[in-house]
Amino acid sequence: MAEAESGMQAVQMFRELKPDLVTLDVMMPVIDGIDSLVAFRTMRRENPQAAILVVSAVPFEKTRDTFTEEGALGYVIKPFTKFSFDQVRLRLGRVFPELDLR
Amino acid sequence: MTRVCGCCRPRPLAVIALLAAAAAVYAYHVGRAPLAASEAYSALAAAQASVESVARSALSLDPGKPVLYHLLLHGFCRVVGQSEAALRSVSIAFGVAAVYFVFALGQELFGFEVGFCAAVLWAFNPLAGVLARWARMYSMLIALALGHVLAMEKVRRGSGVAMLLGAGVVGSAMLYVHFGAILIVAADLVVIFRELRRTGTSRCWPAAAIACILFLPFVPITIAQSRALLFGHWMDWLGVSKGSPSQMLLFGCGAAAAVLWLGLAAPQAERRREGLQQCLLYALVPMLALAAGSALVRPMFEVRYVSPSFAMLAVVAAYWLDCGGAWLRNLGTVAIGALSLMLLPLCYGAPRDPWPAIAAKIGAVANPSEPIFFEAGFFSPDGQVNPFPDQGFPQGFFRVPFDYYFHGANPRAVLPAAQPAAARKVIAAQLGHGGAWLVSARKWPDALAELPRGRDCRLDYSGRFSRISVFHVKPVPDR
Repeated sequence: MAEAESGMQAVQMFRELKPDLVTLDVMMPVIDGIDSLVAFRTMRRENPQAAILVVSAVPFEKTRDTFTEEGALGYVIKPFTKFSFDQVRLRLGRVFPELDLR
Repeated sequence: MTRVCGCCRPRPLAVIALLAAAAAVYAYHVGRAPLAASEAYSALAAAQASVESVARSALSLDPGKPVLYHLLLHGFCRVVGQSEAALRSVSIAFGVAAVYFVFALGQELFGFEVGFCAAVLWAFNPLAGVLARWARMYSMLIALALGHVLAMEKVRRGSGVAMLLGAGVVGSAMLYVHFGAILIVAADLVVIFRELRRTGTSRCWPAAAIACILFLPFVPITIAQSRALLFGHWMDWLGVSKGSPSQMLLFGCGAAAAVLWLGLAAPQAERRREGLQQCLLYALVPMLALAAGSALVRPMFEVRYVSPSFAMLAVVAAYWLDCGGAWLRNLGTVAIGALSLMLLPLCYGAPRDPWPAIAAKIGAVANPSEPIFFEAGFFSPDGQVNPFPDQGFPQGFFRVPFDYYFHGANPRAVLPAAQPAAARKVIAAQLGHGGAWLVSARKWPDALAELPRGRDCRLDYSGRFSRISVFHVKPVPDR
């Protein structure tokens, strides 16, 4: 498990670590020339099998659709609640049945 | 076989036709106008993922408006989506319900004709039209307040325990929609006081007590939010009272005297006259309370906060027209209704918020890496900024309506309120990613002062959208 602080760093780490699951914050704390949408598209292009969960404080459906229509596993609205966490757990359980997420 | 009297049959049909006409007028092109900033805050709460998040959003960003409307809107939007029309549909439904309750209250107090005329006067007046098409809680507040007053009147006239419980529950629901409902409960107390003086007993005090008891869990939050609203600086409450102490005292005494006069006026033997005094109390107590508060504490009188009082005034107006005879009542109702209908298009065509245009402009030009800046705090309509940076909207008041229309992933960032030097530094530090956008609610020269200057940057675009200024700053490449 690793954590990136910017879009560029996220893409570099994605290439190095080849993760099965990425959680991607739409508004990253450090702006470095690669925004989250570019990072998301790069990851999807380079490894379509990787599951990407998009996390955002913007709850509006059209923004959510921008990512889900391009293949995001889910769009989780911040701040997290038990409800949103349960939703994520269900989705992850479907994608990674080998995990025990009870 | 039951035979229906021919002269009675048109009555329900007339009411249904009126409700249908009101629904059609309210729904006409309802999704065409972009969301106003405050409507976007309703949308923000409604779009949250869970009930808990809805409540949190409403409590933190919509003070003075408890959670019931937002929760209802959340449930509705989960089914029909978050479009402008969907968000405003809830208000339309309550707007039509309010027309029915105006009719029912007028009928209960003064008979069918007065009730019907009151409903016509209310249905097509610009205030009802605007509030019924606004994705805010005011048409719900009006409908619940009228429903509560109607149920209280039915209890007063001998309806059973179910109606009493209904009056209490609806009264509590109204309190959970907007703090303005507290003023309706205050009017309840004055009416109960009159009832006690008139008959020596009161049938409807338990309903008022039930409403208050059901609201008790929310009282701590109400007290905290009321303090913030009265002594903090929120959008609608900017400024302090400007009257001199003697003027304030005079006005406060005048308002108190008017309420006392209404409360202590001799009880009327005739039921219609007593009904009129009750209507006047429900109409005037909230208005006088807010007017007195404006004189004594700080400006707080907004028509929408006392919108149920205006619905009550429609009943009063219909009664007065009826006193002049059927001819005057009918002609007056038609004339006022027609005039209101002519005024409605003017209200519907009021200046629209510019957020779709701003989002389209930035979306067409922006590199997705360029940050978009908003100013923290809040602004009065004339561009004055909140002097207290720790109050108001730390994420930028206008970011929410912008986010509703802008679907790009550009980073959003916040500038400190009313600190142009600090703002210049923050923007300059982010210019390395190709440029930066500023969406400002300040006056044009104040907004310009927040932009970095010098040889290493240039103003690539500037535009004024209504009262919002938009700037695009780009770095100048090294030569």
